[in-house]
Amino acid sequence: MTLIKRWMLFMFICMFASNSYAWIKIEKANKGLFGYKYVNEDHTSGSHMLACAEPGWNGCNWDNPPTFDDGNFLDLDDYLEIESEVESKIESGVSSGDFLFETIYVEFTYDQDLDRLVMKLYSKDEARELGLL
Amino acid sequence: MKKLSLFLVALTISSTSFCDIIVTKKNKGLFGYRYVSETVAEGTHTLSCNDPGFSSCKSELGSYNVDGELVLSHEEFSVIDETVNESIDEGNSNGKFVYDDKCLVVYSYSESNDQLTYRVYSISEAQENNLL
Repeated sequence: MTLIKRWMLFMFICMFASNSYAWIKIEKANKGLFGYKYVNEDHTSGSHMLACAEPGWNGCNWDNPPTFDDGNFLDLDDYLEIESEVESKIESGVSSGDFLFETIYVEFTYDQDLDRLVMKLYSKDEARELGLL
Repeated sequence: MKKLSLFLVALTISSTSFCDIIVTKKNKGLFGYRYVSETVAEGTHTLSCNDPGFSSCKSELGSYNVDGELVLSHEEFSVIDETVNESIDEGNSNGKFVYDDKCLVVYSYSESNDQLTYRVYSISEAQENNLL
């Protein structure tokens, strides 16, 4: 293998490795008066996503609450506390931002026109590695 | 003949001039409503709440008063609102119930439009209109 090919392979592995961090993402959009029609949960490569959309009858809840790769665990009360903090910030006029909840770094953004809320959670160490903290 | 026509028109108007409270909620956002409009006229107190925003769907007037026939405090109105929500959550997309021997509540929810409407009548009004 030529030097240039080895270099390209190395760069490719570096690029892939730098994208393989873990997070928990929660996305809510266009909720109905009584809940959501679609609640989708996905757990792939250490990352976890919960997406809830359209008017229906379901709560926006995990069936399998995720944990971070480093073992950091969030129970239902933690989620509720994080959600409550995000909601109170948005209600006070802050449509996007971040904060630390114990050992969890939380990013959030709300688009009123789309009525779409996205929250992304990282472990504190992960956030540091990614330069978010 | 003219007198008969006039009588029929008057009868039609009087039979539809309810004394009631009408609440409509549609397309609520994650944090409340953008538009909350309220009118009180000709025996009807109307509250309409639409589109995503940050406002609650409630009266700014302190109470719900329809020509003195039907007066509800905010607390009473909140209980009615919660009862409507619970009934729909239990799977009854439309129905009616009597609240505290004071008024009749008739509600209807359309999932396809995500629209909830309910009307609150005084008991005498409900009886006059054969709703009870």
